[in-house]
Amino acid sequence: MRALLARSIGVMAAVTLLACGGEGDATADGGDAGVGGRAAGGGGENAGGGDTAGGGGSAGSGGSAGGNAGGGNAGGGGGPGNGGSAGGGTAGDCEPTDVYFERRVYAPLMARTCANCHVDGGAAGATRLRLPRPDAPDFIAASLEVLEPLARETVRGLPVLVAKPSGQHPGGHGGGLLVPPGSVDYLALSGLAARLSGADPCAADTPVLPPDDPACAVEPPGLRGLRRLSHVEYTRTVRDLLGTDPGPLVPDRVVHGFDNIASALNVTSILADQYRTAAERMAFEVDLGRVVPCGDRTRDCALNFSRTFGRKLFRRPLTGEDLAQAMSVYDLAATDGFETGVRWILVSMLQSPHFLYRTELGRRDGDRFVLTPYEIAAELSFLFWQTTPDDTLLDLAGTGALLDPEVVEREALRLLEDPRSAETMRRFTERWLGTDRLPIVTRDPQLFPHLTADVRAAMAEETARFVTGLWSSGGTLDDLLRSPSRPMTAALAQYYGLPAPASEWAAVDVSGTPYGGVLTHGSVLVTHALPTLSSPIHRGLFVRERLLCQELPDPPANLDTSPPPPDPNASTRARYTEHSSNPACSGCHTLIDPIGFSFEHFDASGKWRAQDGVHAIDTQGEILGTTATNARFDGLGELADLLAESEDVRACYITQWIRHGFGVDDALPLDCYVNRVGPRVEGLRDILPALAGTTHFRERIGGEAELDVPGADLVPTAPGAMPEAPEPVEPPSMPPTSPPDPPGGEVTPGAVLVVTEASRWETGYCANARVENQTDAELRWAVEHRLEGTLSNLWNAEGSGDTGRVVFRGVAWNATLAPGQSAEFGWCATL
Amino acid sequence: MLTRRQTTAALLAAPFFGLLGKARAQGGAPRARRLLVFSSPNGTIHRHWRPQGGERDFVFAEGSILEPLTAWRDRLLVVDGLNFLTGNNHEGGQSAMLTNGGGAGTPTRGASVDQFLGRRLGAMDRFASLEFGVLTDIWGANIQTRMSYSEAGQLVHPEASPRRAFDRMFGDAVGGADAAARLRALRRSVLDANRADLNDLHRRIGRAEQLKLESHLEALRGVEQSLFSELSCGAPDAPDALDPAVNDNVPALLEAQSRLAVTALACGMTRVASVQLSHTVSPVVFSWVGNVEGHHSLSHAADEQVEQVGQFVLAERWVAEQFAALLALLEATPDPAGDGSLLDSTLVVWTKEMGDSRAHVCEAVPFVMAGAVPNGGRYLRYAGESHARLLVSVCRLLGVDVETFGDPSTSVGGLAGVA
Repeated sequence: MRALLARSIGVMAAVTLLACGGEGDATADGGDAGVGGRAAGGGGENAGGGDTAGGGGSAGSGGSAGGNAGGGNAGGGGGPGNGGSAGGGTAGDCEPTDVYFERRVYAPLMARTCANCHVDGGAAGATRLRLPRPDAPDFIAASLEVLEPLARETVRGLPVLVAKPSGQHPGGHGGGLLVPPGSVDYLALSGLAARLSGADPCAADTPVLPPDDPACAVEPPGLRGLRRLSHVEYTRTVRDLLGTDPGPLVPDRVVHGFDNIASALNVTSILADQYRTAAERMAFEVDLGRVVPCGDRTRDCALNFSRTFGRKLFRRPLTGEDLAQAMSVYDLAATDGFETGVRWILVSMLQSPHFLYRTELGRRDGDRFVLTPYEIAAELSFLFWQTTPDDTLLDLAGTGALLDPEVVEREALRLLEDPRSAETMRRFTERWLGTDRLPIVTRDPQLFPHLTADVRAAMAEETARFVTGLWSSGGTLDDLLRSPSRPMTAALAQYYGLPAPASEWAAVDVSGTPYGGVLTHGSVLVTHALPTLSSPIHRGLFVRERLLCQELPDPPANLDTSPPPPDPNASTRARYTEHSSNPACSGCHTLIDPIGFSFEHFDASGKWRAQDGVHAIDTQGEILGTTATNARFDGLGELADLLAESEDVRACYITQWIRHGFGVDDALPLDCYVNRVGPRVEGLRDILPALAGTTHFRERIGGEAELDVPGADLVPTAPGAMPEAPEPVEPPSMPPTSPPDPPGGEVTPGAVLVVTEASRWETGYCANARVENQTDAELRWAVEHRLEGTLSNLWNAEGSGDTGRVVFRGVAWNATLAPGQSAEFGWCATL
Repeated sequence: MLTRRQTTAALLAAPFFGLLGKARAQGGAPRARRLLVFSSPNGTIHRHWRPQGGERDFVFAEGSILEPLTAWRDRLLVVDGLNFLTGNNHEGGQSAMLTNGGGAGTPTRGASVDQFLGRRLGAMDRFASLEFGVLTDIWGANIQTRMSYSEAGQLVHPEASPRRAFDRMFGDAVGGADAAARLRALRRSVLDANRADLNDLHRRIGRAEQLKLESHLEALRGVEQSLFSELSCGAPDAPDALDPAVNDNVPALLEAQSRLAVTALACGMTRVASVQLSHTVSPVVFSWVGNVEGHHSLSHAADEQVEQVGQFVLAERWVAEQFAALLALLEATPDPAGDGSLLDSTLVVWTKEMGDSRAHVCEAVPFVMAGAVPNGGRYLRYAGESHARLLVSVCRLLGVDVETFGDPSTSVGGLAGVA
């Protein structure tokens, strides 16, 4: 049973966005799905699975009931095997540039973004990039003619065509960042620029990242980035460090079912306020004896505390600037005593971006950035335990030992053996299978009176014990899908109609019953059903999206999608079959319903039933449209057999873990990771050490002007190579004396102002401004700006007047800028 | 002579306060100073929603969805026949509803109308806008569960717990003046430190990541605004602690959130508020009116499914009752900035994300505008024009004169006969 897991997996698209045939023609060719599928967007799961990372408001217009239903931005969801520089990966098989442009660049990217503004009469119609309309004669050739000069002209070493929409052009981009560096679109656009600059088409598709060839000859490094702590990570971290609970936080955006995808994690006003409230409360709840390393209640002790506890909170040694900042908060608060001062240091640090964001920035080393040992410590700890590094990891970071891959491997095994890794598996499973919603899915109490809150809680616990048990004992994906052993309570056994366990939560062997494997768990069955019905559609979609990693577009608009009416003369299956016989529906529903029908022996409360009302149940089904799993089968048992032996499911399991573990959406070449990691995964839990062994865990790429992570100079660059981190610059004992105010009306040399219009309407506008200290000394800034209109609002600055030439200067908290530091302010004005 | 408070109390008791409103409306176009958006999900069934009659002589038929608004008839504009041209279906409708699409390069930059106006009208208020949700978090945050955008692709989250919303509104209004001043100084120093850290990180990283930090800086501006502005009214009693994820708490949650929204407007904390009842594809079971199936399932019942359609209409009538209760609450609350009631100076808009839910289309999406509307008591029918016209009119009624909203290719001008 287990042998198949040792097989290495072949070339396959781990992530596909299926395009459904519009005329009853099931798209059986999964390998090609992505190209059409890029346009088939939306991707939101009907039951809270979340959305792809694209922007809102770009959903398609109606009437396009074919494969391109909904033009939503799928966030690169097509997967690199389909878009990007795929080209089959075969030498000599290179697309001509016009085909390349149309398929790789125009359809997936430009038509949705650039062409909204960069057209005649558009918001950016007056720039050098003015695209012809798609119905123009010789549209492609005309487009390429417009694009070529922008491909040949470079800025900071990048073609202007690439630099502008990817946010790397010094002049900015009016439309904002549309093409994140490293994304599939970015690769495609870079490839186009290379071709238009005269490069050989066969060599031109490898602009920045190594080729996303499915064989993955070179493992790609990750992109530099910041990952805001997910709510789980934040909560577990403060519990571990402070012993207090932060309380609920506003939920984060869900992508592919996960709420820890870095690109979707930001800090909104409401969340910033919740962080503040939580920090102010927790800092005054914490037992100071637990966190303060000294007992003398002096300023030196507070400094010592900042250094030692700050290292835990920031997951790195504190810099002199960090310490100076902590002590300036302390000095203000400590007029009410030492304790108050220390607690306010905590209030401040708990809201600092150095605490709230995990850095994956590293230190520059040639053309790469190498993650610091502290960053690796955090990678390990958050991947395995979803919490902050323990003292052992921090100490191994401090000596540089974590720069040694063998030490990383050893630590990975230590973290894996700890029960906290099994807890991570439990939480992963809840998001992966969607069962985190089990407590709140509504069910008709008249129809299902026995499905009480207690039963639901027991079902959740059953699945948790099942997966953590498999995890700890080396169980496999096959076991997860087929194991006849189920942890059980007497009450739950009675609910299911199974034999009672020997003791509470002892395993019951269900061999010979229909109740084997996780697909038959009440948690899965109840979550994926409707208040009154079993819903083959929800269950089929669940298998497609969560186990096969194939996302389907929303039902097209303009279709009657009312559920089949209740009919005592027909079974659920008969009604749904009839319902989906419309050719416009059947394209997708042949991919969904035949899988869902195999669940029909289980009702919406997770109980087995012999009949559907008075009707016999037909559980024959078929899987279509996959790379390696297509087959006919009968019943949930055979479905579980198929899935357990499927390379698609195995690749999907790994894909889901990569999404969850690395916090990436599909903008990265996931297939490549899957293929690299796959051979190292036999048991369920092998996934974590395998991920810890990837290049992603050690290296990043970034742009030219980017700087090292804060404090990079304080950490070792090789194991043991650097003795001890140098003592941080001692902060001044008093807050720094401020430089004098600039004389009235005069501007400060070296304070450079950049103004960006945020919005404009007929009678007014708002602008954001950033002033940067470009000198080598601290300064108090004053900048002059010829103001359009009359000020109606001004924030974070004071103005010398409200119209004409206005001198802006900082307010208390941003008036002084360190060298290189900048302050932001803004205003609105009426015209 | 009655005091204002007595007047409003008397009004509440009067069965025909709608008539008074009519008289006021005829006295001149009311000036909208505030916006309150009220939204409920899953489209409608037009034949149970549409009023009967013409522009002026329309009535709400007995048993129809809008019948509970009969007492308010003359304070309403019932708006029919507007289409979303920038989004269709559940998810597309939900995201287009208040934005009309529009990317970063468009005049509204993809912001929803509440956020767009909040930023313009409320830059100096305690909150630029406040968002109150009812069962909006049970599926987490995604395009289906959110309706407000600060810019294209940037979701704005409503607060789903009335207690937490209350704490955010009034939580800092405790302690004496000295203690408050000291707290402010400390908080300012922390904000200062956090900003410096953000700026430090900002200069180390590429543009994509910088945007993350810039939105964080923007968020801190919002926090600052709420911390350092004066509260102009005392805190009312805190709402009951209700579990914000429990289906059967919906009636109590909606009432509490509506009250808080009205309080926030009355206290001058903000000029823009929204109350969002669930979200598209809502699984909420309106059990308190006898529903057993989820609202989304019911919304797709075909005409032959008489029982299910009846259940859906019951649920929708209940929502209309809650909308009426919200209007009554506004009417009973004096306008702090002038004469009359808060309703006189507040533009209230009931929005939905789809037209006929059975067809999954955003055509003839139903809207009801109330309060500070010009010439109330009209049933306005349009012929498939872009709903951007309504968004433009909303802006204009609030004194922000725009020509387009969202995607400019689908937006020109406001609603004929409105603004």
